[in-house]
Parts: sequence; C-alpha cells; structure tokens
Amino acid sequence: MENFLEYIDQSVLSLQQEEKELIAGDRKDEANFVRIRSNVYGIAKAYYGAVQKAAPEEFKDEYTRRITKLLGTWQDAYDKAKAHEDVEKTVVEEVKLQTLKEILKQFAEVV
Amino acid sequence: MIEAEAIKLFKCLADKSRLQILKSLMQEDMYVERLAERLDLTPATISFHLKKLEDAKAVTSYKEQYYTMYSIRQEIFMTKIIDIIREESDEADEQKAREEAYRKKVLSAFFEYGRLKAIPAQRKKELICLEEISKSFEIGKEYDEKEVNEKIENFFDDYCTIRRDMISEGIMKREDTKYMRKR
Repeated sequence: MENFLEYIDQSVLSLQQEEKELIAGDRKDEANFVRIRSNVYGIAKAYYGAVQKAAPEEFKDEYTRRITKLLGTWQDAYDKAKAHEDVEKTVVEEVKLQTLKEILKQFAEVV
Repeated sequence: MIEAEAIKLFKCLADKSRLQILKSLMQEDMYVERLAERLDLTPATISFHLKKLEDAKAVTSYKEQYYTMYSIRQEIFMTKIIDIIREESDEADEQKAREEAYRKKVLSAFFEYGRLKAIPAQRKKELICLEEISKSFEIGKEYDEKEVNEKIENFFDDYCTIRRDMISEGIMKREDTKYMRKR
C-alpha cells in the first residue's frame, strides 16, 4: 500500500516538473493539461486517506468502488461535452479519465 | 482587423504548439491525426489547438472524403502589425475625454482671471499653458517682437521666458525679427 502512495507522490513530482518545462517552452495550454493530471493524482490520494479511515477492513474493494464511481461521473461529463462538440471541455475530461484509469490500473497491480 | 480580433489572434499565436501547427499548415493542408503524428502530440491536444486557431480566424476547415482538413488563412497574416496599431483605438473617445479633462484641470490651477499665475515646473503642464496663450496669435500670421511681447504680457509679466519657451516647444517660430505661430 505504501508503494501506491509513493507512486502517487512520484507521479505528482514528475508532472510538476513537466508543467514547468512546458511553461518555459511557451506551451501554457499543454501545461494546464499536465496540471489537471497532477490534480487527479491529488484526488486519488485524498480518496486513499478517506477510505483508510472509513473502511480499513475492505480497503482495496472500497477504494476501487469509489474510484470506479468517479470514473463514471467523469465519463458522463466527457460524453456530454463530446455530444455538444465542446472541444475544450472534451479534451479536459479525456485527460482526467485517462489519468484516473492509469491510477486505478496501478492500484490493482500494486495493492 | 479590429482591436479585439488582434488581441485574440496575438494571444492565440503566443503558443509554441500552435505556431508549429501553423508552420505545418503552411506546407500543406492537414487533418488532425497527421498533425498529431508530425508534432508528437495527441489528437485531442491538436483538436484543442485547432479550435483556438479557428476561433482566432487563423485557420479554416473543410471536409475531404472522411477527413476534416485544416488550412491556414493566409489573408489574416497579410495584415501588417503597423496597420493594427495605426487603427484608432476603441477607447479613443475616452482617451480624448481624459486628455481634455486633464487640460482643463491644469488651466484652472495655473490661470486666474485670464492671467498665468506661475510657469508650471512640469513640462507637460507648461506646454498646456503655452498652447493656451498661443491662441491669441493667428496661425501663419507674422508678428514683430513688440507685438508678441505685448500679447504675452496680457497673460504673464515675464514675456521673455514665455516667448522663448513657445519657440523651443515649436508653438512659434522666429525668422529674423518676425514671429509666427506654427500650431
């Protein structure tokens, strides 16, 4: 479980560095997307802490359930943005979904 | 190009990825996936940038078989930056009103009963006062020095300084013994 937290912290550090490099390279919009990814890792870490307190006995199942529920909410937002041809929102929701899916996959492997 | 459009375009161009997209489109029209591969960005990111470029009227799109092709709108880039700057600002009327209000404030502070109380220390304020005094002269008409001094003395005792400063500020010119208001 500690490996998972370490993975999250390392990912956030790496993304923060990537964001700085993109800003320095005059790629502010792409830096914003990286910031969004970093925020998703922050959310995943916050969920980790909450589930540890609320359901330590069924930690793995409860964490997976909550993250999967969040994925569903974000998927709905993505589908809605795509249906309305809102390009900017579609890209943002896609970044969030992809990042959260990566985190969930890593969680399943490590925990 | 109006000011708002120019600002939108400049903001849009201030991004390396979008400049790279434009450079690619200069070579030929392209679709999203081709641009993504060429610039090593995801198709979603390319779409994001293309939307911004379209909104700024820098690119346009059209359908070709199964693809949406993007092309650069060259005419928008033929506008010279100097022409955008030359165009009168949307705020021109407000600026003029602010300048007029400032002018009135200075004149009110330095003139009393039509006479100059003191020569302002600040050049900007002195210029406003000199321009006010110069209104008693016709533009283009020749005056001899005595006439000039008398007219200035109606406003301020130290007519020499006022006369000298009006010349150095280009409000009046002197040729031999004749003086003329230029503006």
